[in-house]
Amino acid sequence: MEVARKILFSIFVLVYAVLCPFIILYSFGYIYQPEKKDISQTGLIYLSSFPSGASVYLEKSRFKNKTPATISELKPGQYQLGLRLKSYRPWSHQVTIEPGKASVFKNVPLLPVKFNEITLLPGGRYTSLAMVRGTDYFVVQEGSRLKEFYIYDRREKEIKPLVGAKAEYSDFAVNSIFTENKSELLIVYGGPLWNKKYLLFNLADINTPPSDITGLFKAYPYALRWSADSTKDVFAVYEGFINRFDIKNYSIYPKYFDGIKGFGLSNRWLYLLGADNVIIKSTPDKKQEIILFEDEHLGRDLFKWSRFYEIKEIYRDALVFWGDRGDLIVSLPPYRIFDKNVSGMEYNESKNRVVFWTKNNIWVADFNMLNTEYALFNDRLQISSAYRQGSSISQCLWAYNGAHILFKDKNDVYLLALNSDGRHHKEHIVSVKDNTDVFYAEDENSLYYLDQGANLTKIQLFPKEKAVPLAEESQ
Amino acid sequence: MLPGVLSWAIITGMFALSILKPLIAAVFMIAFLFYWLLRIIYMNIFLILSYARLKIEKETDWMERAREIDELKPGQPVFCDLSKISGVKKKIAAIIHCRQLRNLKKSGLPAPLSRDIYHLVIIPVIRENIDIVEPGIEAIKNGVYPSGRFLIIIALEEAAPDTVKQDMNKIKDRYRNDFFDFLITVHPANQQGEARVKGANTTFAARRAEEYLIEKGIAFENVLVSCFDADTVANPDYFACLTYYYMISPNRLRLSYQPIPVYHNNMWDVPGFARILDIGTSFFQLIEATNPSKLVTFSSHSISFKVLQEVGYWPPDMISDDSAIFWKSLIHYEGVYQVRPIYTTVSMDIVTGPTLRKTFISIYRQKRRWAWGVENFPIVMRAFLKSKKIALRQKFSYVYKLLDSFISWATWSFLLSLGSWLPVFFASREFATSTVYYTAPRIRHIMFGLASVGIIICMIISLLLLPAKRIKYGFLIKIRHVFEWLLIPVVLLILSALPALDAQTRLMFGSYMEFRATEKYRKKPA
Repeated sequence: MEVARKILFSIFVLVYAVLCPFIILYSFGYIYQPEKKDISQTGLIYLSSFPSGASVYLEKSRFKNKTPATISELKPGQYQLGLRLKSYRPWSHQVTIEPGKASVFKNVPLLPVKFNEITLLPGGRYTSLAMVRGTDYFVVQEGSRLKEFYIYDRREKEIKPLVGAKAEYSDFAVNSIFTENKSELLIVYGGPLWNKKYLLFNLADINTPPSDITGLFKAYPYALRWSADSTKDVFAVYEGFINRFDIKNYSIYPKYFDGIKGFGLSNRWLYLLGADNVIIKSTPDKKQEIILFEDEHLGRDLFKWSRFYEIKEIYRDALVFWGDRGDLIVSLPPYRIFDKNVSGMEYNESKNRVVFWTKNNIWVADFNMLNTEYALFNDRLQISSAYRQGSSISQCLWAYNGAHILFKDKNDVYLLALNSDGRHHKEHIVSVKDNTDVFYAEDENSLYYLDQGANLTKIQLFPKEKAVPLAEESQ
Repeated sequence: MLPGVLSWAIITGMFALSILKPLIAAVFMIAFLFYWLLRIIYMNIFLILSYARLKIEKETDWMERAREIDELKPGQPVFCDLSKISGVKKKIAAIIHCRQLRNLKKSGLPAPLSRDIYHLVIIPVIRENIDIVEPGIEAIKNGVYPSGRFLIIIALEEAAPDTVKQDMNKIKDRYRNDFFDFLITVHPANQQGEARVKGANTTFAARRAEEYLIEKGIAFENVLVSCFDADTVANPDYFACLTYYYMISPNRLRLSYQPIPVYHNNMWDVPGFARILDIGTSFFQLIEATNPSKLVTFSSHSISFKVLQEVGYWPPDMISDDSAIFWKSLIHYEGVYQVRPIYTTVSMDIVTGPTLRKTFISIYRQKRRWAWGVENFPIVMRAFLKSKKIALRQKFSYVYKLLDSFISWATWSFLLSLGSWLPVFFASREFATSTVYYTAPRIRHIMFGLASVGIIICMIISLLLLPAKRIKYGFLIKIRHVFEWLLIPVVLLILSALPALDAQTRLMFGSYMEFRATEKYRKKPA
C-alpha cells in the first residue's frame, strides 16, 4: 500500500504542477489555439437581463445559453451583442473585447414592446401632478383653486380632495406648494392678493382642516425646509437670512441664521454657506456648530455667480452646491462643475451618484469612485456626460436602483440605460401632457404621469419580481 | 504557537488579500481549490483501498494465523498454498499473510509464542457508569482471544463519584474470575507534576501494572497494553488480530498498534450532525492507516508494555495522551518508531448529551480537545532540533505532517466556505472587469461538483460500515443517513474547524486546558 501511495502521490503532484498553471492561465483568459499553435489571451462578456431568459446573440450567431450568460474565450475585437425576448424590445450593443477583460452588462433592462398603461384617474381634467417625495402621495391638480387639488395615495389607490368643496379655504387660489422629502406635511401658499395665507396640511390626516400658519411669515420665503423627522421645526429661507419656526408652539426665531447665501438640510445637520463663503454645519438647535470650510480666496472664487445656493449632502460632508443661476459646485476636486445653466440635480443614495442636467445635456457625477479606487493625482470626482442630444430637458430621475436615468425632453419620456463605456441606450417610453412632471416609484418600478389626455396614468417599466436584482451598468 | 499563528495568518491573510488584492486572492483560491480537489480524490482512493482491506480481513481467523507463526520452524521455508483457498477476499488476505510471514522469516528474528502473550487493558474511568464501561469488558470476555490471558485494570480517579466507584467494584466482582486478573487502581488527585488529564491516571495504573507483572514474573515484552477509553468496545477479533500483528512484526518493540475507530455504540441515539462527524473521523483514520510511515496513534490503541515502560509511560501533563505517547516513543527511539495499522475495529460512543444543545457543546469540546494535540508540536520540534540521529528527511516529513494536518484542520473549511467568495465580495472595479472575476466562480463550481463525488463515496462507505444488526431499521433510516452527509460542509466548519482554531488560538496565547470527560449517554434498550 505504501508503495502505491508513493506512486500515486507523485502522480498527483505532477498533475497539480502541470494543470494548476493552466487553470490559472485559463482564468486570465488564455487559451491554446491549435490552428495557430499559439497561446493567446481572450476576453469575455457577462450579461444578465431583467427579466432574465433572453436569447443572446453575438454577431449573427445565437448563443446557446440564455441570460444570465457568460460568453468566454472571445478574441479581442469589436462584437455586436444583442438580446431578444418575446414581447420585449430588442437590445443591442457594440462591445469591445479586450484581452483578460470582462465586458459586463448586469441586469440589462428589457423594455416591453408595448407598455401596459394603467389609467388611475380618468376624466381628462388634470392639469399638473406633483409627488410628495419619499411618500405614497401625489398632489393632482385640476384647477388653480384649493378645492381643485387632490391627494392621490398610490398605495391605497384612492383620491381625496385636499379640502372639501364647501370648506373654509376651498376657493383659495393656490400660488405655491411646499413639500419635503419623506414628510407628510404640506404647506400651501395662496389666497387673494390682500389676504395671502400659508396653510399647513397633514397628508396622513387629510380630513382634519389645515392650520393657518400665516402669522409666522413676514414675507414669501425663497424656500421652506424641514426635516422629515421633526414635526415642529421649519426653516424659511430668505435672501441673506433664515428664520426658524416652531409650528407646534407657533413661535418664530427671526434671523436664526444671518448672513447666509446657501442652505441645506440632512437628517442631522443643517449646512450653511455664509455670505463670507464660510461653510458650517450646525445642529438645528445650534448646540453644535462645525466649520467645514473657510478659505476666503477659494470661497470667493467658487461662489461668485449665484445669490443663493441649495446645498445637498452626498455623504460624510461631501456637498453639492447648486446656485440659483445654474452653477454647480462640489466640495471635491474639480470643485466647479458648471458655471451656469444647470436646471436640476437628483441624487441616488444606493449608487451614491448625482445626475444633473442642462437644457441639452445630462451629466453623472459618481461619488462612489472616490471610495473604491484611489489613484495618485486622480482622487477627484468622476463626471461623465450621459446624453448630449436633448432639446429641452426638463426633468431627470434615477430609475432601477440608480442604474439608469429617466428623463423628460419636451413632452417625451426616455429611459437612458447607462453603460460606462459611454454607449448609453436611449429608449422612448411615453409621451406625456405638456408642461407636466413625471414621477418614478422605485418600489414598484413604475412611472406616474399625466397622459396627453390629461389622465393620471401609470406604467410599469420593469416586471415587478419577487426580488428585484440590484441593477448595475456595464463596466 | 506556530500552528496557531499560521492558521490565523492564512485566514486573516485571505481576508486582507481579498480586500487589498482581490485578483491575487482569487488566483490563490483557484490554486487552493484545485489542490483541495486533488487531495479529496487522493484521500478517497485510499479510503476505498483501506475499506477494501478492512473487508478482506473481516473473516480472517487471527488465532489460526497466530498458531501458524507459532509453528514456524527455523530454516523451514514459508510455503503458501492458495489453491485450497476459495474466494477472492480470502486469497488476497492469504497473500498478504504469506508476504508478512516471509518478511518475518527474512528478518531472522524469532516471534514470541502466542501462548506467552498477555494483554493488559487499561480503562480510565472518572464519570462513566456501569452502562458505559461494562459492554467493553463483556466484549473482551466474549472475544476470540482467551480471556484468561487478560489483565484488566480499571484506572479510577480518586475524584470519581462514589456511585461510579461502586459501579466499578460491581464490574470487578462480576468479571474477576473471567480474566487472568482484574484490578482497580485509584489515582490520587492533585499529584505534584501532574495535570488533571487522563494520561496521569493511565500512567499511575501502568506503574501499578509494572509492579504486578514483576511480581508475577511476566516479561514486559510479552505484554501488550491496550489503553481504551471507558466506552470502547473492541471487535471480538481485536486482541487476536493485535496478537498476530505483534507476533508477525519483526520490529514489534518499535511499534504502536492502531485499530480503526468506529462510533457504533450509540450511533442511532445521537443527532445526524454528530453521527456524520464521527463517521468522518473513522474515514480519516481509514485513510491514515494506508500511510504507516506517517501514522500517529489516535484514541484507543495498543503498545508493547516494554516500550511503554522504556519511554516512561504517558505524559501526566498533556491532554492529547493518545498521540503524545507516539511522539514520546518516536523521540525516545531516535526516529526508529512507527504505528502499525491493524485492520480491525474498536467501537466507541459518539459524544452526546440529554439535549441537542448539550450534545452540540459536548461535541465542540471533544473536538477542541482532539485539536489540542497540536500541543505536541513544540515538544516534537525541540526534540528534533536536539536529535542528531533522526534523519533530516524524517524530521521534515513529520513536521510537515503535523503542520499540514493541524493547519488544514483549522483553516480549510473557512477557506472553502468564506474564502472562495470573499474576493468577489470585496471586488474592486478593476477586478470586477477581469476575466478572473467571472471564470473563478465557474472553476469553483466545477471543482465543488467534482469533489461532491467524494461525498457520494463517503455516503456509500458509511452505509457499508453500518453495524449489521441495525439493518432492521430499514431503508428509510439509511436514506436519512445518506442525506445527513449533505450537512458535512456546515458541520465541518462549526464542529471541526472552529474548535481546532479555538484550540490553536488558546495555545497560542498560552492557555491551559484540563481534561474534561465528555458526556456519554446511551439509550437503554426498550
